[in-house]
Amino acid sequence: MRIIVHKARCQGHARCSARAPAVFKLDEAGYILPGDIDVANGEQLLAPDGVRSCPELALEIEDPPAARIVPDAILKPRTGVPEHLTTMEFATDPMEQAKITELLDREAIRDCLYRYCRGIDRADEAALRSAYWPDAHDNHGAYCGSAEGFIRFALGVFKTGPRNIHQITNILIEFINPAEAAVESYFTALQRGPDKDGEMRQMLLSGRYCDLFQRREGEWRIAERTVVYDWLEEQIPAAVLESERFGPRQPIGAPHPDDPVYALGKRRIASRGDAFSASERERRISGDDGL
Amino acid sequence: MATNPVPDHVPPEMVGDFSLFTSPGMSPTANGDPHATVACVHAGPPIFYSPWNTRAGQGTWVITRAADQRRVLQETEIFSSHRSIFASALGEDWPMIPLELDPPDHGVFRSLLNPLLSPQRVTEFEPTIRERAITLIDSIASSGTSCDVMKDFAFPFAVNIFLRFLGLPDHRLDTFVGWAKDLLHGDDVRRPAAARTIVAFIDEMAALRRKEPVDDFMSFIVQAQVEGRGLTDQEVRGIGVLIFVAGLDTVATAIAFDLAYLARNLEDQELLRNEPDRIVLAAEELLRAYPSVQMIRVARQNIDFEGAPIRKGDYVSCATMIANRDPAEFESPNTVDLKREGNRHAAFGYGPHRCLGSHLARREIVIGLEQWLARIPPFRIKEETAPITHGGHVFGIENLILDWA
Ligand code: HEM
Repeated sequence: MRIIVHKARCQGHARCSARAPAVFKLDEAGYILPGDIDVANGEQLLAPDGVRSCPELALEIEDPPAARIVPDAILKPRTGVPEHLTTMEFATDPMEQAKITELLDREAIRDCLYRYCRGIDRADEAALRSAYWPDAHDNHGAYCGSAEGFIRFALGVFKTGPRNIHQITNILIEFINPAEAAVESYFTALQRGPDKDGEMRQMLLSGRYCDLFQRREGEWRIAERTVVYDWLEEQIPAAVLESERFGPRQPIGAPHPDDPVYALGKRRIASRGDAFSASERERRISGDDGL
Repeated sequence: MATNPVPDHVPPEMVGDFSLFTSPGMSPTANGDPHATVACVHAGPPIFYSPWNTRAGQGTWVITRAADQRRVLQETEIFSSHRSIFASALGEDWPMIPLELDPPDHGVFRSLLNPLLSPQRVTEFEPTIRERAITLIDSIASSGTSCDVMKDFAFPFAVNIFLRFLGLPDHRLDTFVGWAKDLLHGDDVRRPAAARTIVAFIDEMAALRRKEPVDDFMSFIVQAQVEGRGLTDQEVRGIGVLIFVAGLDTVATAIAFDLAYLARNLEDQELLRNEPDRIVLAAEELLRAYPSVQMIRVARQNIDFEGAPIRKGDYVSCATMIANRDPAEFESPNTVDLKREGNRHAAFGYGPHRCLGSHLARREIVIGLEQWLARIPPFRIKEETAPITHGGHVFGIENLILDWA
């Protein structure tokens, strides 16, 4: 990984070196030393945090990244990798590197699609937000406008205590350029919740999310979404209480943070730049109840 | 104070009903949350004109987006910080240095001062900061189960460190606290009086150190060379006064807002108490959520800036509390997330005037919180008391009575 240093922009905040002192070296007055930085292998995890924390935007990760962190599993030579290539050569060969980068990008896009589902199904605001760029647009059935507006709308729906299951199946990812991808993904949604008049409704919906994904500072998120509908079936909700109907099948899924999946999450080692970690222990500032 | 009429070149539809001084929640308010109140501007246009947005009642353009504030503060050829605010309150005209100088003059003095407050220097200063925090907090802990954080800890702590930094004896502490309070919160009589006292004090110190230099800040300044010459009396005063006004209230305010947040959010309090390693990152998030300073610039030329017809001489306000709640810059800006990464907040400004004392301020805040959490059991806002918060040029909290009975 190579970091471009726009020395003239540095104002000595020293946030980069506070995050990754071995990567970002400062002069006596606390300003960054001139010259771009080749990041050593052991430092590749912290360096992007240092870049992101610069208030002046004086640091930039060279794009496309010359070498990204490659998990061991992918590095191991397997079938398809010419035998004369050692592990290191495999990772540094530009062609192979480009393929690995594409694989990681695809995985990041998939993850983002699933985060959206987690957000909606678990009424988890942080997960939902983490699927969209802050300036994203969403054309979502009855709603069309900023993703921010859609999130606000969704937060309102969450208050009615719905139960949702959103599943993503066929995912087709086509890269437009290294930082943009057109992504079509099929969804099946089971939605249950009260309508305007308080009557319980149940629906099976199927369709496709047609998304423009963008990569910014190494992260993939939705920049534009259009929801296309292909199937709709209104179901008749059972009259008995849910707890009765489920019987011994407990626990029933719950919203964030009560669902068991979150207890599991606490044991997990949060990975850096991980959009989910934001959802843990969030505190709302009073006076912003409308959000 | 009279409001200036809105200048003719400002389109009426760009005038906003908003002021850091006169909007609801900006005057002293019990249990107020002035930061959340100003965050509401993000529902409106990215730039608008506020007819009354300085202490003296002048109108300013209000830049709400962090990206635009960054541009205003970085482009000093267009947006100048040359103003003589402090001196003009005394009917005089000299700049506080380096704040009220533009590049290239700014750089001359800034380079002189940078090494004095560099990250490395501040690290050397850490044991002193820690010792001060421990002494103050231990005395609070041993004298009861409640205190006014502002009066008993945050203010004396910040002023004390500051005196050490300047090389002044501790016994002047109460005098300085008095001056600083009058200067920041006094009425129209006490404020200029305090300003005069501070100027006289700085002048006197400078004269003394010129005669007999010792190893302290003022001696360094009076002996310093810029561009092959010594500093003039006015330059020494400009530096001394700025350091005095910049470093006192700001740190105390930040510590108080942080402890107020933790007193109200017990889970986060517990998290930081159990895992003190998180305090460094958490302090950044609290600086983002509760910053205190509004920066003002003056347009040096006519410019159409992001749709706003800014004309030469117009004031342009970059309020850190507004930039720090910009949804285009920060995900879920109104949520305090103590684990937030990549937090490039504006609490210490952007551009060449980036707070000279930021490294010192950060150490003070982190060490202050560390020691407080280590020495005071779980605390809350004392029942039947309400912290009084206010907006204005520098946001603040007047009292914060905590209780750990
Ligand atoms: C949490 C505490 C603090 C905050 C929030 C803060 C905030 C700021 C901000 C926003 C600016 C930029 C002003 C502008 O561009 O118009 C600034 C400048 C400055 N601050 Fe601080 N400050 C803090 C503590 C300190 C301390 C402790 C010192 C001194 C030891 C200090 C000294 C200065 C100086 C000298 C400048 C002017 C720098 C220049 O013009 O180049 N500050 N501060």
